[in-house]
Amino acid sequence: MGDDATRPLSDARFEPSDAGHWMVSIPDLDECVATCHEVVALLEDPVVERHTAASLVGPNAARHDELLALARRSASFASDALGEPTLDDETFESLVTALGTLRTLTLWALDALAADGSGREHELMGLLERISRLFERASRSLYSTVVPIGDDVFRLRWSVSDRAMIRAFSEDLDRLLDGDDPSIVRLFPPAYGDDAERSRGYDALARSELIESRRAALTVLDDALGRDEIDGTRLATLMRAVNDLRLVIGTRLDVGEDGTPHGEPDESDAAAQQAYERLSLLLSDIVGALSG
Amino acid sequence: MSTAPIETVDPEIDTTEDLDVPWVVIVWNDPINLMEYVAFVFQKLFGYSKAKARKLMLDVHLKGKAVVSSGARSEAELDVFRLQEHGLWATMQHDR
Repeated sequence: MGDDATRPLSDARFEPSDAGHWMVSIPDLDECVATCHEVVALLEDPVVERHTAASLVGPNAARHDELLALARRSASFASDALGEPTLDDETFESLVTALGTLRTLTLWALDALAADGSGREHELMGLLERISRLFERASRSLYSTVVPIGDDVFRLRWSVSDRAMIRAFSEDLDRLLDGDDPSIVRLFPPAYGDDAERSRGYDALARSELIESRRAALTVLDDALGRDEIDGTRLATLMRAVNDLRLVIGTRLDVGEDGTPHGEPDESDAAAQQAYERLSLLLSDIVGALSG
Repeated sequence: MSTAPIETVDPEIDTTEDLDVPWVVIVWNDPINLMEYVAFVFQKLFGYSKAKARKLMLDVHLKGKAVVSSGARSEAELDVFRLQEHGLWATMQHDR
């Protein structure tokens, strides 16, 4: 199959245009089309066919030829769509679905090869990475709240309610920063750990700078609430502020190691809990967008 | 971490420490910071590869802490500052 984990991942980009279409830019189109068809070839492997026959039993079992037909349809649709310069909403959503299907089928086939014990699945990790890359690029463009739309420009797809929530909690944090409210304890850890004397010395010098830096990040975040596009530097700065909001709200909610609040649930916590979950998603999207 | 010897630091001779004893910067596990965010911060601040940043993040998550940088006291303090600025629970101590 000529697979090679060193083949570079695609720089495929899917950007929403003002006209309500999706602009497709794929520098290595031939490679991407080949990747889609490699998934089909993988599904045709006799080992995968045997694994499917043995795994899927019962009246509702999918048959291997049905999986193969699904792979062929998805690969054919994806190959055609990737070659178009622009796609309408419906076609782009179908493309994301097709790429997701190809990724799932690749995982299925790798499971089959792993169960076979030949070790061949290791040679195919590159294929999994390449199909995953295409799926993640496309699905992030479709669903992410922050989308790269060109040279160091990012579109913020924050809803009106997201913006209102961020504004309220930002103003809250701005007020708290100079004080000693217990909810901001995570913003100022003791730099020397158990060495209280040195930690106090560090705090005396650094705290005002940390406060100033946090306030500057909050200002950039606040400014972004009135915008739909920002550059990468500002996005990286407001990322810190979004994380600060999570730290403060999470501390108030007493979030535990399992990621859920430990304190007794309370009516007034519901809004904070919702904000915490929403901010987690926004932060995750920012990290994804900045990671490229 | 192995058992550290008893510290006998005399504040009077603090200024000579930079010269001979390195400091290590430690990031501790916490329940709030997202794993992908922590890894991204390591890449951004230290220029670590994606793989190395991910390894350090997993050490923090699974072992409770990880040494992310080391150097003279002033360098360690700057790294602690930058990590705390990004909301990570970072501390520094002598590498003994």
